[in-house]
Amino acid sequence: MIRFVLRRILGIFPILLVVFTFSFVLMRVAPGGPFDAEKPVPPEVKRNLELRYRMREPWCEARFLPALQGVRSPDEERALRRASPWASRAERVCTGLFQYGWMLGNYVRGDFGPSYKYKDRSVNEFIRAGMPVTLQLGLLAVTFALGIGLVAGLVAAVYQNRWPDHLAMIAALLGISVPNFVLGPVLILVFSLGLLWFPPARWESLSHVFLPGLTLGSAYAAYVARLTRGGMLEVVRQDFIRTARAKGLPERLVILRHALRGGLLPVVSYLGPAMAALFTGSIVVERIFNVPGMGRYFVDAAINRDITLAMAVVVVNAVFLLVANLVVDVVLGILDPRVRYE
Amino acid sequence: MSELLLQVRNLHVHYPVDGGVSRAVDGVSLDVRRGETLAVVGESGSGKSQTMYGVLGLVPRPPGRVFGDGAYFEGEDLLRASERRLRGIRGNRIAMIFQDPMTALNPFLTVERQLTEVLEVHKGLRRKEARNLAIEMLAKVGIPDPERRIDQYPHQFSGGMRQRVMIAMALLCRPSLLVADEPTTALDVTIQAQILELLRATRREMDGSIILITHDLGVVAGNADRIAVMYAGRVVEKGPSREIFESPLHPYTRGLLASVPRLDAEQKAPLVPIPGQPPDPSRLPSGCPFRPRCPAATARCAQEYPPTRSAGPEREVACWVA
Repeated sequence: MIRFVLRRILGIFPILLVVFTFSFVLMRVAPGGPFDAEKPVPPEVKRNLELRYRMREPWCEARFLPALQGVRSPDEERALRRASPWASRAERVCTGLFQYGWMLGNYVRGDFGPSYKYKDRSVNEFIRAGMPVTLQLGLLAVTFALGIGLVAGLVAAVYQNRWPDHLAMIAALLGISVPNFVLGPVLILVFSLGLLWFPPARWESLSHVFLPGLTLGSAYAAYVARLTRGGMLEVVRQDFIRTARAKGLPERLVILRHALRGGLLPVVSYLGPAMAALFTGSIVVERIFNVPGMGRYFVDAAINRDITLAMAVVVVNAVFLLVANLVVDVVLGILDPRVRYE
Repeated sequence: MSELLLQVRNLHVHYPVDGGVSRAVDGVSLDVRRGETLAVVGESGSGKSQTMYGVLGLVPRPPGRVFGDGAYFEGEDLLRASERRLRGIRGNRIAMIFQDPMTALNPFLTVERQLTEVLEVHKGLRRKEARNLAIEMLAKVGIPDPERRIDQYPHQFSGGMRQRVMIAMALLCRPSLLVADEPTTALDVTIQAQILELLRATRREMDGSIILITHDLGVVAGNADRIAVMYAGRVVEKGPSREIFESPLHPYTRGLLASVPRLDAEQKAPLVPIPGQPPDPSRLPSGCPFRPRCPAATARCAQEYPPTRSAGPEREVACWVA
């Protein structure tokens, strides 16, 4: 099993390289750049910025489109590029390759590079500030999802088609269909403004974590409940459950020892992607509760063409997803002895 | 005559279905004596397994409904016993083994866990003591190297070995009644013979009774003292197995015997299948449920269910024409 885990960990790196490359190409191909602003900056400033952030490579300009060298206004540059489209394209690809190599070199050294939009901060600083917040929030959401979901699903399965089942499944349906941006404000209304139990926003103490965690986790709790119920009902029909009853085991042992492991398999499989999603933050929940996490960068960075920040978010997400799936596979192997590590 | 160990009287197991009731077991009476093997024979769906589920409280309720005049085991009526009391009997005084050892053992738990829990629950043993007894029992049912194999999972055993594990599990508490529900159906023929031999040896040793549920008359021959033939939730014929094999009375029993290939029969004797299908237990025909498939049916058979009557010292049959 250790060999299996090591091999899977080694396998993560090529996947990350693909993710890195693909998101880099997407960011470059998308129209517009990080230094386009409504109020244009002077051409000299823009050129210096682009040189500093490797959006412009003097060597490539000299090689493919020498006319670009020197300070040009955007209109002049556009005219030059239109006059020789092939050279312009070659220059862009060349610059992109340089930039790609530069960023890849940074990544290898564990440096996500400077943010293109917030020019006084590095991407590492953003992540260092946002990640702990997002992780705490995600961890609490996972705890809620598992705590509420497993119990509700188990109860529903044991009391199939009776009122606890109906109650749990109605709650699960609500949990899945009520969106975050409705649930969040409702929870604030009830628990902060009404009952005064929890603060409505900000990120200071443990009590600040509760409502956003619940909001973020509710939909996942609902899925976990439905998966647990479905998994348990599937297992309870199996022959070996009849055997367990024929052995005279008390119902508690029949359910918890004989049925639960098999019933949890679908939940565990689902937890991989679910945890990855929870640990990368949610822009909606962070906005509602004014939580300084990673979720907001997800959207902002892409819209701002903040290449380094957007790519860092994508790569960090990919790491979470890959690690979570690895953990899921290991846990599945522990739960089900028939699984082999090849 | 030896003492009765289990006495089932007029047992019913009903399940509700759309617009009616499915009578899986429809008034079954059975006796099992101490030390004997009773074979319960019938096609799939004839209610053989459901009868035992009904007796042991293994019918899911709801939706199932179990009632009758009684199921007396060692003097206690199991139909009126509490669930807690039944749990104390199941796996302890009455043990069951099932058809398919692939699915009847829990794939997620080691053999050790599945064996020791029986002793923990019924005998209050600690895990360590239970483990030693379990190893002993595995050796007894012919599993080589039990100290090592007990820590393995069911998928690491072959089909025959798994059925041996099932039997070991059933015998741990020295039950006085072993219910073997199609114990050889899922196994290769050579393995079948080994398992049947093991069951024979088991009965000699534990000095208990066996109910052998099967659709395979080849399994019954030489393994059962008495036979009860079931059809559509009822017992249609009962008697010592030699007599039933030699002179079957009920047309269904005769049909069953005629449809079994025999090595000692004359080469020309054709294999005669019983025409048609067993009836749907929620829509039984009027009168005798075998009537639509019966070669000897008369007008009376369509009107009334034939009562069970005595046909010899130990024989009973439910048929108008036999």
